[in-house]
Amino acid sequence: MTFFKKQDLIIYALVLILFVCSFFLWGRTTGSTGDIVVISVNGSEKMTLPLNEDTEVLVNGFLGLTCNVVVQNGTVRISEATCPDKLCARHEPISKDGESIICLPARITVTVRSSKPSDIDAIAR
Amino acid sequence: MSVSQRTNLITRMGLMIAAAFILSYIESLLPPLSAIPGIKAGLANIPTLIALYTLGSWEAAIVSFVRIILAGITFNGIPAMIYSLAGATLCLAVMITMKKIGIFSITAVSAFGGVCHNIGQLAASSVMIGLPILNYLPVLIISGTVAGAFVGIVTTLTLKHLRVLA
Repeated sequence: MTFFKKQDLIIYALVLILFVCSFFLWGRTTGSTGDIVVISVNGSEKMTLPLNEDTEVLVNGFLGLTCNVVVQNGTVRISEATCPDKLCARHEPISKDGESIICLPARITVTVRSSKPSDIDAIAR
Repeated sequence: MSVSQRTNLITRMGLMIAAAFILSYIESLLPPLSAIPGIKAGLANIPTLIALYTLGSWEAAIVSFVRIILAGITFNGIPAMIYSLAGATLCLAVMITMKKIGIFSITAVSAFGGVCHNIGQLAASSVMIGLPILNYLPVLIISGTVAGAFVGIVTTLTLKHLRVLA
């Protein structure tokens, strides 16, 4: 009985390659602060909010599940959700360009973007 | 296949489905490890792997799919079930292929299966939800490897006690 074989290294090397490649798949966070919040449901954009204005929006998602999106002090978070796992409500507030909070069951994504066009966005699109 | 052999196979598969179902339930009771969906131990994959190594490819696939559908309609919810089915399809295809190649340890088969499960789930959710979800891919590749390797080690130990492995 063995837990590891020498040939396994092929697999772990493959995983490492996948890991490195996965960083280039989608526009990564640029590190700079974004200024707009894009809320999408089912893959289509529902609304855009300015990040510098404190607001609260109840978003209706898939299967009647809802998420309460709160914009506060230049950050955005999901304060309450009716989805079964409530993982989205546990996510820390986000503020950087490219960061997102996703509620899988409700199919809601909250993404921070910069309204100024950047090189990275141009490549990602 | 004689009647008694068929009965034997059906009994073992029923046992594996029951074990996988219970492990799914136990896992759903544990607090989430992170705010990122999909990071979990994947304990329900232990019976699937045991089925793969003691019964066969089709049997393992049946154990996996029946378990996901049962868990989906009872406690996990239909949305999670859809993502799980996508993940399980890719995971099974990869694990069956790797087992057929025959040179890899159960730990490696399970680790890569875990990675592929997460990739399949993300692929399904990026189609339904949108591309921002792909930001989670690097994290999910690492968590899939760690969880899969853990499940592989547990499975190896279990098979040893079942006297399948010397």
